[in-house]
Amino acid sequence: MRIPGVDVRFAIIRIASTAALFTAWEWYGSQPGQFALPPPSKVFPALVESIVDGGLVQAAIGTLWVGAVGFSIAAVLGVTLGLVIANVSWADNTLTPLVNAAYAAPITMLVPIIGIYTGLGFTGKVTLVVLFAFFVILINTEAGVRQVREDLVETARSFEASRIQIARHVMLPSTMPFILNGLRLGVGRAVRGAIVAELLLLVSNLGLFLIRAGATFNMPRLMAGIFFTMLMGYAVMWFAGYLERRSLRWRGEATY
Amino acid sequence: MVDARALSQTRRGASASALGTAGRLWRYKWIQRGVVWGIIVVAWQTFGLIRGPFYFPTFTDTILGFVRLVVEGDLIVMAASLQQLLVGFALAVVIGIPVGLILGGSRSGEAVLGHYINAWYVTSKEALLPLMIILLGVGFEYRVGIVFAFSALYVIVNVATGMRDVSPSLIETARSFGASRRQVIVKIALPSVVPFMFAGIRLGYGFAIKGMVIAELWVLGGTGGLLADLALQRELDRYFAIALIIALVGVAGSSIIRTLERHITPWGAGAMRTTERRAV
Repeated sequence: MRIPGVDVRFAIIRIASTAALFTAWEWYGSQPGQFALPPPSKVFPALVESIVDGGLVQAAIGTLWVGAVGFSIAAVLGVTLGLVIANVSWADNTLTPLVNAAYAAPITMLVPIIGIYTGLGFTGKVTLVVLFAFFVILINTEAGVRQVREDLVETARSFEASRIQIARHVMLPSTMPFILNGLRLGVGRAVRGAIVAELLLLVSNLGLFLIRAGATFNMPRLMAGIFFTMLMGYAVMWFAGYLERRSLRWRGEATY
Repeated sequence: MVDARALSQTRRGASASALGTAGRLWRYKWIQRGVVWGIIVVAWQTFGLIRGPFYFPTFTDTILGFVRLVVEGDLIVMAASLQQLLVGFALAVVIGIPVGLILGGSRSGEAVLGHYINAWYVTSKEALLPLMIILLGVGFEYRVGIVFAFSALYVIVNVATGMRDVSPSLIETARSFGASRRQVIVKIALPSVVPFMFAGIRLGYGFAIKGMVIAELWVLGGTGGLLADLALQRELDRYFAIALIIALVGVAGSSIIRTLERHITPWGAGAMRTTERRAV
């Protein structure tokens, strides 16, 4: 049988692999004395229960809100500063090494002192999210401006295009995919930043759900929380990817 | 002070007007860095002096913080963290490369593994902390496990991308000239995968450090415990010094990997921008 766009053999292997994992997990989890890894038959009811009683959904919304506020700030700052650094040579020479070092450094190490400067409330959490998402957006924006083809700019200039016309019709279309890629990666980091903030900085929302389940050794609930975090990450990244592709439709071809 | 050096050189350039000489000097990268970084250090020092050491240590306090790190024996704690980090990272590389080769090299490999790698990619690894602590305790295994969970993914994904990137037309050409399977692998597939592999290793190293820091902050042990203690006691000079050392360990490790890369794959070095890739 042939379904257009779907490789049947491929799909069968994938389903078989998933089924095998779940069977093995169910078998292992049901062993007497097995406590730390409960089987799927206990995890999924716990997941449904946590969603139905509203706790998990509300927690996720709270976490995503922190992420969204921080991401918006990081996006504005990151794109702006990226454009400046890419266009001003002395800013590039002096700031790029610092930005690269900060991009590679673990932001989490600031968690114990961030409260001193922002307080431990909402501001603190948002600040952490901004720090998580900011650098990847900046670096991608900068890379985008840098790869604009010099010959296209030259051609536009020789046809007496104004600076604004060059920016609008030459620079922007070729920089945009890079900025959007940076923003998409920034979304992923913002979600991680929000979860870190709610686990380590001020225990709340999803962080509270996970910690409470772990502290009471309610393993099905803990696994359900992790599973939900995964689904949430998947949904958010899918949505970000969808927005990215949609915004690039005018290019006539998919970048990914 | 660097600003002063720039000024004195301005005075020495007697023939040109002072402004013209400054303008010419400004074109040098290291002059610009000296001036701007000097301004940052001065601003840092001033801010620290105004707000006091319990709020923001000055630049000089932070430098003295390095000395205090040595005296108080904090470096030994940090060395132990680094050792656990390297074990986790080495595991990530050793396991990540073959998994990546399978994932990117065969359709069935992708069918079996692809969706797990994708799930791993979209999950915030931090959410695993409460589980890992129950599964592995708070010691060596736990820390190595977290570092592995953070960094192996990036090795796998980049190696897989490299495998998919091997040009089929090159392989066809080699085959039609009678190249053996071994020759195709050694002469065509490998040279094209290795630069991706290094990109993955570099990225994975950065995430290994991130994993190590968060793992130790979570259990308040090792360097993470030290950071938490110092923050509570407001010994921010030592805190800032440790933070700078962690950042330096990241930069240093990454440039060591880059140097290796340049020696082993002179054709691919620098071509690969270290950025996160889509898993599948």
